[in-house]
Amino acid sequence: MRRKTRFGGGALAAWLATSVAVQAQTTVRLEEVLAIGGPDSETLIQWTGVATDGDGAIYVLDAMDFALKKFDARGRLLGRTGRQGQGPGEFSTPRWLAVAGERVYAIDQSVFGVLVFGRNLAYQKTLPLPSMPDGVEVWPDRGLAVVVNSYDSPGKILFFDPDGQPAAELRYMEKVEGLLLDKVTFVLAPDGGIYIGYLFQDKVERWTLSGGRSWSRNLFGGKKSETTTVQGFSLPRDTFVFDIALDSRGRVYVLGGKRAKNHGRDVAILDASGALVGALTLPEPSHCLHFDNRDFLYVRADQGVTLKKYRLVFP
Amino acid sequence: MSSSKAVLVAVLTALVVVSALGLGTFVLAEEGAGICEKALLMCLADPFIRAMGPAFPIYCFEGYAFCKIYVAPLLGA
Repeated sequence: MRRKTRFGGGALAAWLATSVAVQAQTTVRLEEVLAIGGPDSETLIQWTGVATDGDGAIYVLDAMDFALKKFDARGRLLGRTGRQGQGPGEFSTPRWLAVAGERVYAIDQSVFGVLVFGRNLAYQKTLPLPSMPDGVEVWPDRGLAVVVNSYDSPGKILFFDPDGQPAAELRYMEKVEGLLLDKVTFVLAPDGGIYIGYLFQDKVERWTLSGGRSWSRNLFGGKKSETTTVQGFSLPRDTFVFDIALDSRGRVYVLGGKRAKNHGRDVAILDASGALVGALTLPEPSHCLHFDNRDFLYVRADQGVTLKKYRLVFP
Repeated sequence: MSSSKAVLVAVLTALVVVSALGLGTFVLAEEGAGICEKALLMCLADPFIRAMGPAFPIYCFEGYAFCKIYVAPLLGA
């Protein structure tokens, strides 16, 4: 399938309206090149995590099918594994996915660990974690990284070698500043940069393991989230950064939450210094962004029954 | 989208909230309360979830956060 999608016209204006320190911008156009699943298909029931390998295969966590599914580059189902449960290789609340080397790493919200599969989808083991994982990313040429959150200490990113041995740790907050304020999405660059976006704070940051925080900026005017109280817990209500991703040129893509003009659709594009260099708007809300090694973008469509793949066209 | 699939999607979206927060039952959000806040309230009060031990609030908060990024944009919440 190859279809041009009309959008992006309002994207730049949206970011101009909501951003500060706007510099040179480019409005990026998207061309749809593949759709997996769909409203009239049972291929995907409601997917949550996506990852790709160097051969072009696409791995998808289907939360409502309790399965890890593998597709070829043309979207044909190659295999699936998993079922509902809490045993080895089973899923309860599958969320996030990453592929590094020959392994596929999956996060299940109910498991204090990382589920490890082979690229052939065979379950291998579960790497134990000290707390609830909230995201997994490839650590380029080194292994993987996992962000973990706990109730009484700030979140941190844990780094592991490919065999799951602890290798490093990054604490991106010094103290607990409020419930869920340490919730982040992150991505690791080959040059050692660690880009972090905060779900409930207007902050995008660049860190390095050795040098600490390189820069921090906001994209939505810097205002704090409104709060709500549930059973005595004071919680942030407004969302800022849903996901953050990198293309092969080192551009940083930040998917905006409720504080963006288009909830779950506006994407700001930053360079490695944090300068805003472009924007795009997804045709439908997505909870995540993923780039493969050829810079195709994968996002959610049709409320989660479809995975769409786009080519980015820069003017 | 066909009407039958649209209904299925709506139901599944609701089920994601249930799944995200580990709930066995689901009640639509009342007027004035966001769907994620309502589901969080149910999660915190659920005896089965509370049986998880001291970690149960984290489980509910994680579900609340996931609901915010997965479900809320679909409902304009």
